[in-house]
Amino acid sequence: MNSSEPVKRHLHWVASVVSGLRSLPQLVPFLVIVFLSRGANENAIWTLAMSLLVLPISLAFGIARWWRYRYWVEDGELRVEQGLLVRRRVYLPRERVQAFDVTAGVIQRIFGLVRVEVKSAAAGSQVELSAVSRDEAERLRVELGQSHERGRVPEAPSKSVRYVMTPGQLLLAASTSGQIGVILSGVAWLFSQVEDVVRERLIAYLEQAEVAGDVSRTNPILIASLILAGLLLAWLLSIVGAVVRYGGFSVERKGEDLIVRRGLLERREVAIPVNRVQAIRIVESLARQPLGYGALFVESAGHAEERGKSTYLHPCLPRSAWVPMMQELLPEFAVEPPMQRPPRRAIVRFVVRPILIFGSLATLAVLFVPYGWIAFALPLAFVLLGLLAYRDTGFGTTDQVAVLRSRGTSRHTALVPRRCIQFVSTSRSWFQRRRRVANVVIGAASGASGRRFEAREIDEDHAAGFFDWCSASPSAPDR
Amino acid sequence: MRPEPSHRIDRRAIGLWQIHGLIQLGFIVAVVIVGFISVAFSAGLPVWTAALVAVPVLLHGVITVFVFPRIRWSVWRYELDEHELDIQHGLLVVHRTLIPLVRVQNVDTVQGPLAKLFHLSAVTVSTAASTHEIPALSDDVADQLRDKISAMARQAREQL
Repeated sequence: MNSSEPVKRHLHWVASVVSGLRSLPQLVPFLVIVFLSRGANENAIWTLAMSLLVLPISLAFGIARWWRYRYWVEDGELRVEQGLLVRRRVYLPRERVQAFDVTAGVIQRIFGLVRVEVKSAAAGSQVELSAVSRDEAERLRVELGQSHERGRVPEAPSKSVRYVMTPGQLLLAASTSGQIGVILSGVAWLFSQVEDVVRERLIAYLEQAEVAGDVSRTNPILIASLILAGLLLAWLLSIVGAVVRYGGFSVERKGEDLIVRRGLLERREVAIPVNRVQAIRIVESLARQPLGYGALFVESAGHAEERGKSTYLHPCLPRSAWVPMMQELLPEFAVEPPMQRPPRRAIVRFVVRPILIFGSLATLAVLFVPYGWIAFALPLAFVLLGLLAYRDTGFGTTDQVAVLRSRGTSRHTALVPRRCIQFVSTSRSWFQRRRRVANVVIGAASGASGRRFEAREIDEDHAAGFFDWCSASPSAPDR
Repeated sequence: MRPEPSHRIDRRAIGLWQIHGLIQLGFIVAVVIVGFISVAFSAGLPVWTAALVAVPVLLHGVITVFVFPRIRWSVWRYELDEHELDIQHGLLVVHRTLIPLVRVQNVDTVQGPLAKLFHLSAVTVSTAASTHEIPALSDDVADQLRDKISAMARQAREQL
């Protein structure tokens, strides 16, 4: 280490505010007690004063915690000392550092600061510096050997290519984000809370407008308009949510790192070393595919933005831009091999399950439920989805990259270099053997565990060919 | 497609799996008996209805004890060459898996209490994305295979 005397540093003082705000939820029991004891003491001002007491208490905690929190770099290790009563020390050797993430929440942004998260592969051993200046974050990044340039000359004429999401793409991404289901349940809950009020208002309105002569509580127009209003509200909320999440998205290649930034209120910045990239995943949802757009994800080893989630390479990019973007950011993945599709004889395999499962369910519905025939929409929808899956499934290979495509509801395309394939597997059921088809699966490392990519009902011989392609033995030049 | 892998797992696997099946059957039978008695008493069902429950349970038992272990054993194959580990297994669905040795992160042997009676061990092979298991090898074979895979994986990595 060139720095002779390690200086134990405090975080920026704003960290005490952040820490104080975080401890607020722990003080909820105190608030509950205050409100419960109100019965004895009817004085509203007293209650208010007591509950406002929460703020200075949590701030005091925050300041104390900030005071006890020190970090420094010594012997190539990031060392942290913390804890009010129990002193805890964390030593994180720089070789173990898997990720160095810089983000900024609302509070950090107000003061022009950032939050740094240093993660290692070992579960639980991570360090969060909740508020430091940008310069300090950069200094740490260099000291921990996580510089964007990997120790090479900084700011060299390494051409930096940057992709910024356009407002149009943002709007499209937001309006097709697929978060509507989650929000819909929230809206449904909201409606159930205000249902009576809304109903009365609507009935009054409809009566006034004389839409229907007999306005009752089970009026179909009333119900339909309520449902429609709920859907619309959920959709608008999902758009707002997605804009906040994806807003200001950009991705750039800086030396040997991919740097992804996103978030309107809370800025997230993730740096992924290019040599850790294991696969690219493209997801085209039912809403986006006809428009020619898809979301691109990077799968990388030992690092994920959040557990079980992969990092966006782009939330919403038109198909025609995929290969050019790869060429500039990750040239290894700029491929578009011709795809082998399942043989015609496999069509039945894509539709037989929805017909059997949902068909029998729908038949039961017809027998026992009024209007049960509506249930036949279900097998129909899934048969259509099965046919789409048949049309979209396939795989292709170039010299070094395998492409696998499959469909659940969305169309998933995976690009995996041969050197990143952790295993390859084919499987054939008795029915598949009769039709001479097989499923192929490959595994790639992703985050702490792995991810599997699949192509169903591939011709037996093609599957065998793919199996052999993945095998290392026929003097395949690695890399 | 490359030829089927040549090594089978130990034949005693069948016996091991049969005992596993019997234990499982014992659990199911116990649960079903208790369940049936409590329901039948409260609902006043005639005794012959017990057959409706017993027949499928016993049929399932016969299949899991006498049929499946044999099929599973006869499908199981593995082969190790200098580049990869080739595994075939399955019952109704036959899986064939290829693990490049370069990707192998660690190799272990595992032995459950029942397997210990049979002197059988399993070898597990982990990559960054998955864990694969070759069950029921005799203890010596398992140890040898583990050491061999681990040595060859190291060699394969060094050649890169």
